[in-house]
Amino acid sequence: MAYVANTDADRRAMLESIGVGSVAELFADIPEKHRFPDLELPPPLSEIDVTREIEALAERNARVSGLSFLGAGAWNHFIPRAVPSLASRAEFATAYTPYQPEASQGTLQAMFEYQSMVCELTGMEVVNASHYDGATSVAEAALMAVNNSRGKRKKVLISGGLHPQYRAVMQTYLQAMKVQLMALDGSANGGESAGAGSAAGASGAAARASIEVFHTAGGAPEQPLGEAELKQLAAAADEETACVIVQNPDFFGRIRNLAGLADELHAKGVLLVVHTDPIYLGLFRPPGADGADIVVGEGQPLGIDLSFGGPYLGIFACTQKLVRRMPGRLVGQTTDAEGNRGFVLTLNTREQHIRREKATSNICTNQGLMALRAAIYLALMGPTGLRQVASLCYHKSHYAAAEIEKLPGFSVPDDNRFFKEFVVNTPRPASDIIDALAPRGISPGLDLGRYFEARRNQLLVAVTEMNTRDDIDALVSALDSVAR
Amino acid sequence: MNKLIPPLLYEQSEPGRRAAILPECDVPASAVPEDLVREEVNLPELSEPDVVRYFTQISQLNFSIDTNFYPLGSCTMKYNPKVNDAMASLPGFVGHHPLQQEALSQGSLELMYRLQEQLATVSGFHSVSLQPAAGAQGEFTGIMMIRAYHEARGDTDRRKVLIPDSAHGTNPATVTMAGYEPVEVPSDANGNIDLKAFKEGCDDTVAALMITNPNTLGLFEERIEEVTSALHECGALVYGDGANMNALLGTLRPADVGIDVMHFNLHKTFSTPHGGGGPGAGPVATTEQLAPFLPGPIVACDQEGGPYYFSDPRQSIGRLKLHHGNFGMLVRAFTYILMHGASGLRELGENAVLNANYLKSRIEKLLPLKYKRRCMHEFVAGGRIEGADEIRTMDIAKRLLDYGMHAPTVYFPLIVKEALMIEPTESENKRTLDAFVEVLETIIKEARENPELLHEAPYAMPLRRLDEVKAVKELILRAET
Repeated sequence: MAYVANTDADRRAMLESIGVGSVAELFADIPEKHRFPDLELPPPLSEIDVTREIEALAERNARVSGLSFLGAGAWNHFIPRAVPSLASRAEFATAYTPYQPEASQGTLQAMFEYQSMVCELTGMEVVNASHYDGATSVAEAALMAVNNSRGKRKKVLISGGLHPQYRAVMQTYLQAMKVQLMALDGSANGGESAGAGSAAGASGAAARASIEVFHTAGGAPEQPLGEAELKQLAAAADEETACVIVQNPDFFGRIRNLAGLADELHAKGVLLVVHTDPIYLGLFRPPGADGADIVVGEGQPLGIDLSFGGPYLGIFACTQKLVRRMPGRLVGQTTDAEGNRGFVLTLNTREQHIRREKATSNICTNQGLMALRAAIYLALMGPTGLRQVASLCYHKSHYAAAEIEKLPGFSVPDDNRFFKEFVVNTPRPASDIIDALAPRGISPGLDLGRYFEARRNQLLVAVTEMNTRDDIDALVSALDSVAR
Repeated sequence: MNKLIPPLLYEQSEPGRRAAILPECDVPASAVPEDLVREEVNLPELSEPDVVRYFTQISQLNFSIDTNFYPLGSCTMKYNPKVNDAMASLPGFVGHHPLQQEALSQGSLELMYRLQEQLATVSGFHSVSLQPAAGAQGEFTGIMMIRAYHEARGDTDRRKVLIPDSAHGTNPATVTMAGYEPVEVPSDANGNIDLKAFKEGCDDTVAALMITNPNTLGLFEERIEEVTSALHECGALVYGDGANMNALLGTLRPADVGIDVMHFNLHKTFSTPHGGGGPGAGPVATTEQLAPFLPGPIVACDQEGGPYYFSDPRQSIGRLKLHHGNFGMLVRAFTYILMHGASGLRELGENAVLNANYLKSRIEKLLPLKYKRRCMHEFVAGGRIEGADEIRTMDIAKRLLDYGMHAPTVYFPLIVKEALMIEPTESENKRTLDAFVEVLETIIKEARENPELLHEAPYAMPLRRLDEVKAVKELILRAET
């Protein structure tokens, strides 16, 4: 085999040194009847053959280029060529976790840069060296908030419009911790069970934590709207509440002014957790400026490929006050024996390899290489570039919404402000429209019926800097052509 | 060596410098909400050549598999084939949106389906979920499945999970997250589970045992079937930590010795790059009995060749992360398994064990070994040198760096004093292993003649020994901006 480098002569010399006659003898501790099983796998393939086979698989995926308007937590953003070129350098890609700092300054310094830039972006004091993705970040943020109360506060309030997959991950993560998850909107449990588009739907899963719906004096609105909902969340938070979780922009692209929310919550000892989109932060006020205690986010837009859902990047930030409760690795600055600046992993006593069962989380391997991509991306974009990307998303999505709004049969609910993604009411089931446009190579957005029973006639449309005006116009006329 | 360490990005920043150029806005502008707008983000301002040179320069401060021997125990730092990366970077994969319809995603789905089948074949299990993002998440998945299994049977009084004292720290941390209580099981003089103590703790309050086999001492649990039977007799299940699965490729299917559920570390066993800390992937495999509890979505098909579709197991514990797992890592592992086939995988397993035993046969003449048994893919030596009492494991580790060799895992497992955990991996050849032994011999000589030299190592790295205590005390976690 190509990746085993010992020759027969090597092998003989090695066996002699060990003092055995054959390699098979080295496996004597394995129960004999189970040793060396026959594995039913196809014969080995050469690199030529394997490439041919996998290229054929990749080509079986439909190619949708500028005419994709799918977002919903993973977006088609511009990735400067320098990002993959630098991040795929073997010195970064084939290094391990930087446990020997003197041999890992490249990784450590890059992570320090990532932490520094994401602190500026989110307006927070501390950022860790990455989590798995936006969904696990928000689940661990809830755990962190509960643990911060030393388990005294076991209630977590979720705002409407939290991504259904984030909700599902929270339900999995929190089920054993006896945490009470509560949401304001009636669609709380109407979401998916696991995979969007999965055949099994939302049934089953008895073990998962359920999400209770709570009511305030005014009753729960059908669709929680903007700042009014924030007031209801603040009112509902009590001495048993560990945190309130708000996604902004939310799953539907809606944006809200969070000013004042943190103060109301802090007065009750409740933490504010905000999940955000890092591109949004290129133009709009960061959660840190509004007093958030923990900020999490999906870092995929920062130079990371769509790649059918992963690997992505979990952004995880908090205040200095909470740093010892934070999960995951942190890189800190120090000096070497000669006084030169250098970087090391620090505050390890929070982590599993030191603290074991008392650790803040079990996380070990993270998404380091994706954090590196984000650092390179932010360095290339700079303040002007990032603002431009955010502006392009904002204006193009608003142009698209205005044009679609003009179509007979289609409408855009005007109950809220949005960033790069918006809901469209469709005259036919959204799934029919998607099917009708697929042969033309157009992906008009997400069928919201996949997650919400009551939203079968709604599309979630995302527009980024990658969609030109021509693309948008093509989408608009295509929608018009399949209106009935 | 003393490579150039460039100043931080913020220190290089000059107002007005730019890298990325974006297109002009080609649509009419809309009103931007004034109450939400911020000033420009305070990011560094650099040109593309600045950024490229910076990251290239700092990359060169790293040791990596492609540049150095990296015998980091339990981490399986073996060669990561380039073709894996090329396959994961195919435009049909990297540009594909995770919520694209199934009918338009058949290539990705088929790949996932076939990888599920491959992993089931290699491990002897019935079903596989590719969801978990890393080993620790795989562990959490497995223990939550065990929990759901007991609860589904109304068996709700089990609260303990047994964990051998040689286990990785992720095991007890996982158990806490799953709402159980970890109970440590001692090891015996041969590095196996102490069967007497184990059996005494084995009762109907036990939900599971988490076992790493081969364990972190690199030793195969000799009475594994006795251990798994004892658990099953008291109604408990066995979780297999697959961190050391490379030793078992083609040599043992964990399901055959009574493991009920396990995770794979694709970034160890199946050669996906470690990325300086991640991303990894931690698929979970299990028996028919536990399959209904696996996290979804899982790829299914009703007939050979598809169509393939996503499906959620009936009593699923739920979703672990966004979408379908770390897909890019799945492509790499699939490529690796396809290239090796059954014979190639066995060759990997055999060579992992051959390399480790050979290196052990050479090193046991130099350093003390607590366990004299034959090892599997790794072994643990003590970093104590006769005639150089004041030398510690850390001194040896740091001095190795000067000779261009990455240090083994140090001070772990906790049950060996001054541990040096050495895993040469299957992709190294005898020549490299011999060079490592020669370096160790030199270091031992240095330790006896000039111990100060070791205390102050390294010398040839970009920086001298770093002050970790100061880092905690000062806690500088971001640059001055």
